[in-house]
Amino acid sequence: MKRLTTAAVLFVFAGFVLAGTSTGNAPLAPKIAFVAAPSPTPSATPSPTPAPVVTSQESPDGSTTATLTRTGDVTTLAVKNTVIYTAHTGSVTVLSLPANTWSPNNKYLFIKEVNPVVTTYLVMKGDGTPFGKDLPSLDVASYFAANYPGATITEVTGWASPYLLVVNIKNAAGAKQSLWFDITSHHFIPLAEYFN
Amino acid sequence: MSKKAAFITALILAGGLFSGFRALKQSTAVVPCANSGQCNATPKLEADNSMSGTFMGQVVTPPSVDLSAHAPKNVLGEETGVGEKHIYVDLATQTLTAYQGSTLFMTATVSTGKWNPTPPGDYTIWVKLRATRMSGGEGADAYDLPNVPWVMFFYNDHVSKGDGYSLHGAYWHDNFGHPMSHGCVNMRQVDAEKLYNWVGPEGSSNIIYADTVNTGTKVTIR
Repeated sequence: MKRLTTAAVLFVFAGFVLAGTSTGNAPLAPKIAFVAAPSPTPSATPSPTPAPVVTSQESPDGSTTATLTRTGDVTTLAVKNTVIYTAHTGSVTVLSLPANTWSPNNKYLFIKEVNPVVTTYLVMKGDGTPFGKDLPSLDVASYFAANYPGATITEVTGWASPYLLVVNIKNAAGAKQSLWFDITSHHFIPLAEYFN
Repeated sequence: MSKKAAFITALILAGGLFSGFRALKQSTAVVPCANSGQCNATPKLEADNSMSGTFMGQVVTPPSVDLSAHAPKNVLGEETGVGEKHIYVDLATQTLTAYQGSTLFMTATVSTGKWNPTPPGDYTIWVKLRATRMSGGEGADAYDLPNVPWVMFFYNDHVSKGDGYSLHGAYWHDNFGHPMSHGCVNMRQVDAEKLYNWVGPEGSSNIIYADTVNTGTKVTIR
């Protein structure tokens, strides 16, 4: 009897101990601190290639087309699918293809280059050949700056003839004026009238 | 009638006479010929592939025109919708739009008058020519241009047929969007060809006159 009473007390005591340590009905789980597996080192994933931005200008007689394509920091100018000019422009320089890009004889074209420092217009031959040794294109703003200090080009609007670009400026006195830029002589010709 | 009433009446009559005279003067203002070399001349179908042209002192090469080979792409004109065809030229923006009814057919940049302004008004095309010669100007702006292509002459009560105003292709400059002409509406050649094949009068000849049946398309210039 005495043994039974002792066993019963021990049994009850063990039950209390177990009840105090259990959490609900869940079995006791070992206390193991799970350490998250280290993340794999992310590999350098390439940025997606930006979609090319394409502009085209058909010549006035419809016989040829110029296409300016900007893909990221690279801009190309193509005539009839042949690239004649490539520029690594970065993100701050923007090239554009004016509506009047083609000379009336379809032999020349010009593009507009805008960056934080200067806006210029580059004249190129439609077949991609240079104007001379080390002269792949004519930089209108460079010629202008050398001849018209203190004046600024407001816009090159188009071609007055096969070899003459119409260049509108603000002269040193701040007045509007038009010039022709002769791409054969690289000279500017002041005009009596403003070509608005 | 008292002196005061007579004075007021006289003032009113004077004002009315002045306004009437001014309106009459405007309505009969002389419009210069668009091409002084062909002033009051009958439009002439003409193509000379051996000639060079000159414009503002520059030599230009005209496009080759084969009058024997030309056939309009659409003999009966290109139908793009329901309703009357109408061309609008906006002098301020140097743009041309063409509609059939409310359906837009085309838009284009143009060059209107610089040395002679293109006169605003409502016009009708009276003859189309595949090509012709245009000359005029003086001094620095003199020009002589053979093979001017896709020519559509228009007129109204104030701008006569002999004044020679037209829409046409221009091969001597590429400065569209800016006034460059002596009164005509210059267009890129591809645009002029497209318009030419669409407007009335319709037909397959290289020179087509409008009549009461085969009418010319209206042109509004503002």
